[in-house]
Amino acid sequence: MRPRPETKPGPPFLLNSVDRFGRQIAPAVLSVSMEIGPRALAYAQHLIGDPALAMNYFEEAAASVSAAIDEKKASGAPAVRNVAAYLFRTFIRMVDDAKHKEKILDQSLKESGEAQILLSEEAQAETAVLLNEVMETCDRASREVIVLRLEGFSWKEIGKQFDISSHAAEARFSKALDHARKVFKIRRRKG
Amino acid sequence: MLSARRKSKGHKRKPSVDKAFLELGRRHFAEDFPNPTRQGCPKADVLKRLAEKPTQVGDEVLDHITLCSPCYRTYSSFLRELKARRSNRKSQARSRKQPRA
Repeated sequence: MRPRPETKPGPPFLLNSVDRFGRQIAPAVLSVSMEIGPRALAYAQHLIGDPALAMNYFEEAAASVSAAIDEKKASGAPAVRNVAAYLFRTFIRMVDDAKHKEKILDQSLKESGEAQILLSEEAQAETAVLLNEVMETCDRASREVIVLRLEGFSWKEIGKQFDISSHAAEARFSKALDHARKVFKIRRRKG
Repeated sequence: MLSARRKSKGHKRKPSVDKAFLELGRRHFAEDFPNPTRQGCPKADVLKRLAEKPTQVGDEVLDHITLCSPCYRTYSSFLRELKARRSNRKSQARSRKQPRA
């Protein structure tokens, strides 16, 4: 039997306690960041390529989440139920935005021979952004309808799963996507 | 009659979302969130329950599968199993209804 090759442990994941704007990251958020950091960065690297830039965005996201938690506490609004998921989604929204800005810069290349490849990449990025928005902003039933549809379930099958008609299932799907598109546009306008 | 006439004139209903979107979306969840150390992953039976009886599973599991590609793929395979089982049941029921020759 061949001996198993030893796997080298990766470099330790280190995170600053302030982001590049000097905003503090709360200790609770920092500990969650250390947990999800490596895989969140893997997602960002896949999209934007630069690990240093990805790390900057991650620290920004952690600082924004810390501020949001404090704000919620102060205003008496319901607390964030899952800090890890909240942070992850804030981060991927930032990465998606960065990717979108990069795409705008690349638009002048569209007329070249690589137009086809760029367009498919663009469609991929748009789809990812839209679905991330749905998962962040829509209610559970809508999210489930979206996932089932992506998995090839017919409207009839989805309707059965939720005790609704196939038309209602289809309407829920369209409504969720429209809502996500609207939120996405508003966010873009705000910059 | 009306529907037949509509079809012949090419007034087919346009699908609300195209296949490319569904395929890209499925690929996004199945590939873009690698989680090699399987951090925070629920057990396979929880994912199975999410596929079969979603109301019995908490929101956090649904949150997790949309942020973890390995879990999404496992969930997807349970959904496919469920779909296959349902269509088997349907075809069996249909064959039972048909009179024997």
